[in-house]
Amino acid sequence: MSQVEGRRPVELLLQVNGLTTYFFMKDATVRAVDGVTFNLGTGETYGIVGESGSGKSMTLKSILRLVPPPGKIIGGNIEYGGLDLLALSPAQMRLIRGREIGMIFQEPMTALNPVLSIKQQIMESLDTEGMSYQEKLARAVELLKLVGVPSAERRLEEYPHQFSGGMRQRAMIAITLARQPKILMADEPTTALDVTVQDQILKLIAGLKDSLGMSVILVTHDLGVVAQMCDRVAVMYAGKIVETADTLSLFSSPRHPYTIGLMGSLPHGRERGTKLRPIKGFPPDLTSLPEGCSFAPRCEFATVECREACPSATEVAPGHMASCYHTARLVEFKGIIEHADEEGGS
Amino acid sequence: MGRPESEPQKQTTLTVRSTIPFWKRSLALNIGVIILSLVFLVGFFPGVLARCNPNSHNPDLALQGPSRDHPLGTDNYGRDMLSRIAWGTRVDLQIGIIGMMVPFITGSTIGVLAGYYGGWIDQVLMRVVDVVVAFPFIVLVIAIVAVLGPGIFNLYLAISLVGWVAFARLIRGEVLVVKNLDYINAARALGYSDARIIMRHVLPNVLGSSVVFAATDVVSCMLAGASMSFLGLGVQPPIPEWGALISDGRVFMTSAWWMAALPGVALAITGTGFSLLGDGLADLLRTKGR
Amino acid sequence: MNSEPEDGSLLRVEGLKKAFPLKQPVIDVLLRKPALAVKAVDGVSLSMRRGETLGLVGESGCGKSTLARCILRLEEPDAGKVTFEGQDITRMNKRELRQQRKKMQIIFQDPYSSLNPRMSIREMLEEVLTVHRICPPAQVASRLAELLEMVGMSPDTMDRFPGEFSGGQRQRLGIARALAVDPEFIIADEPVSSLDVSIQAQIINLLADLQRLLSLTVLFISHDLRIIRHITDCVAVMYLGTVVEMAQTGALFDRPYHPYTTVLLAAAPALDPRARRKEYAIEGEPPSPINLPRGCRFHPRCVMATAKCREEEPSMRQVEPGRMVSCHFSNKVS
Repeated sequence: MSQVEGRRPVELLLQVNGLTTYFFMKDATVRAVDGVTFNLGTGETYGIVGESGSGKSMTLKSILRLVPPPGKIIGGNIEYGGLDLLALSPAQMRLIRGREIGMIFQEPMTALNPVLSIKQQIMESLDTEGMSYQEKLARAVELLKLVGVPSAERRLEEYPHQFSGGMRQRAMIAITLARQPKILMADEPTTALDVTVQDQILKLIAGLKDSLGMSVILVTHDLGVVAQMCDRVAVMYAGKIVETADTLSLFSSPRHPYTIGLMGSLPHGRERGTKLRPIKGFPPDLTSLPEGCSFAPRCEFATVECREACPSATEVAPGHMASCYHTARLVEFKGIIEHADEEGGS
Repeated sequence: MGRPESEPQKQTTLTVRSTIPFWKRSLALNIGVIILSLVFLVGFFPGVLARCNPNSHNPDLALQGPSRDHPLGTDNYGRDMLSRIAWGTRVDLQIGIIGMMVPFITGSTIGVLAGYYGGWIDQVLMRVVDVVVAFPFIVLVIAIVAVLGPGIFNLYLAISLVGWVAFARLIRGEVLVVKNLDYINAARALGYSDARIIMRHVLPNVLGSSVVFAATDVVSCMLAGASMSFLGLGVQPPIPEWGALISDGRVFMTSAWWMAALPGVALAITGTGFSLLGDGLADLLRTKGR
Repeated sequence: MNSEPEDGSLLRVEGLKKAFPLKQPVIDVLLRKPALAVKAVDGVSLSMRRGETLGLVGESGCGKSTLARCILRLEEPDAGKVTFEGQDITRMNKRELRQQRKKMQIIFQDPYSSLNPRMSIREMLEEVLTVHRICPPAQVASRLAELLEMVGMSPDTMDRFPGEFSGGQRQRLGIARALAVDPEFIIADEPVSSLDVSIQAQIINLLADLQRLLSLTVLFISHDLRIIRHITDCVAVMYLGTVVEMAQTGALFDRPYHPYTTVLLAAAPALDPRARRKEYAIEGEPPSPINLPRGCRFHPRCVMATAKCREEEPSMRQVEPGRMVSCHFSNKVS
């Protein structure tokens, strides 16, 4: 019941400590997740935002221990319900997956089995619950209705290819929610969808979270999604969390150069003709990260000490952590919201 | 931190070209190459293995088992099996490789054109493929040779008439995929002629799987040749071809097993070599990446 | 023959239509039933002035990519006309078209399929210069270096293959290839959608610079409204194969007139955590471009739909200077 990472006391549902997952390839080791620590409270939507290669998706997979070889979770612990998920046997872990913690993915077409009907797939996820066929069927209908699929009874008989992208995502949510998990992990659930469909799916998830009393971990690269959905956010870069804060604080006063750089890259209500401020350089090579801070090669503020040792997380404000030696200098940087204020809300 | 130009630093490449040299990438390739090197060596220089004239009859040495003078025994005419098998290498290699060439070229050409242009060429091609593919390769070859008469030329002709279909279908499939990739669209947007697009942009990207298939097709052709000779429809005696040797040895299976079995072994080894080569090439193609 | 028509437009599209017929079951062919078709582009008209950047937005299936390909005649339109510098390019023969191609180029979305994996960068760019005889052989090398530097790539990388570059770098190379023919008009088809956010900004800055430097006219296709707002002069919104609204960028974003534009702007997740809405921006799914609704194609999902909308398809009209809308209610601000 710690209060370190929130502004108000919340009951902690999941505690991830020092999670480390490396991929051991023939000639190199990819440090995909490198000491990730965060907590998830009840009824909270926690966002993990980062670009490709940041380790955000692999973090989710590591929590459910779905890391494909040659990847291996080599460090840390994950506390859930008094258990360390990383110490469970495969059989025990299977009980956790789906029933306690569920996950939805980016590409519904590949996450759904194309040769099974939606009905079969939803009912299959209920197989372990000791329900009769009729009970499972009724629940399947109920679930499809819950996720907003019209004519649910009829559409149950259909196959994934007969569903549109948005519908498939709803179906996947229905399958995942079948056993009422306490935590829903969503790995870029709307990246492949049109903007109007994305709007519907995100609001659906938010609504379900409230009505079913779930917590959500939402992984995305889109800061707009973060702004609309998340209570708290972690920003990841090169396998590490570089900044954590509640959403409002992150958007109004970011305190890590990467976060600031990310926000500066976005066109948001600026005048036409002004240049965007992209982050210079290239994405990091996870097989050969530099000594010291991984972001230093691209950082405007990097100094000698940044290149020598990796900074650890410091608290820059209550509930707001950043891993940088220069957070004090960054106070002057305004985040996105200030800009929005200036133009009367973009 | 505004700078006047948006490109303050030049971009250099991100990834280093794969540092694993190709001889380390695929075990199949290595083994295949080793086997084939030995086979080709014997093919070019039969004298390496053959001590005797493969055609010289020695009736008093007939049907002798493996011995020091004749490590693979002798046949019913007293001819040294080792020499006959060694000299037969060249014949079988020729049948395999030459037999594969014409179908490879014609089939690939037709497949590329059908895949790229579509339309009626493609429709006609697909119907022809449907018909030919309904028959097993060997059966069709036998049928054609039976009509045309025995001999190595007719064998090549028969294989060419039947074998192109597999290549055409394979390459057509690849072309259909590549055709819609953006770099082909870019080439069209740049006003390149169809000929240029096909030769410089489509072909290099689809030939790979064709070449892999060609390696295994050599085996099919060799077997077709051997089967024809076994049936007496292919190479005519006294040319030592492994299929013919097997045929010769058939009646002596119980008394002189080495006559039929050992040429079979030679066939198997060579076939394995080519198959592994094909596998190895496929491995190489896969790891080369996008 | 290179003069522009009196209205000063560089590019003019009139009534463009393109449909992709679906495969019919044999029974239907025998019964002579008319084939169903995906009406990707169903009557699009627009014009662009020289030096302008026009944004084309819409969701998947609206026809924006098909429109782009029809303009360049990578697809042959079924109906309509495309005029470039006063010349009708839809009727040109192969030889004329080839010359015309030098003036109009395209940048593609997917950096991983837009470069030939088996050609080095040098070979790729040299081919452009040789086929079109852009410059004498002696100058080819320096022109190549120039092109690469213009897109922020070091000329040392010329002999590498596309597989050795990152997504952002490949996009730069694709831009270099398009610029090699010295075009006047470029279609950028979702050029940054497949890239990471921080790289997107680099490429957008590059495109803006090049546009200024080379006085390019750009048709910028994207589904990302933030980028469109930043980089374009005017915007055209597409829905199910037609343009529903076209206006100057600032005006469109501040005061959208067409109900669909309003929905689109509302649906995009705002970067402000304090502005959260619970209601959906719009209900339901976009209908299929095979069976288009009668009347206004947006009416099944439109909050303002009336009987007239269900029966009669609205035409594109200018409701005020610089604003075209295709809606029966276009006089009322939504």
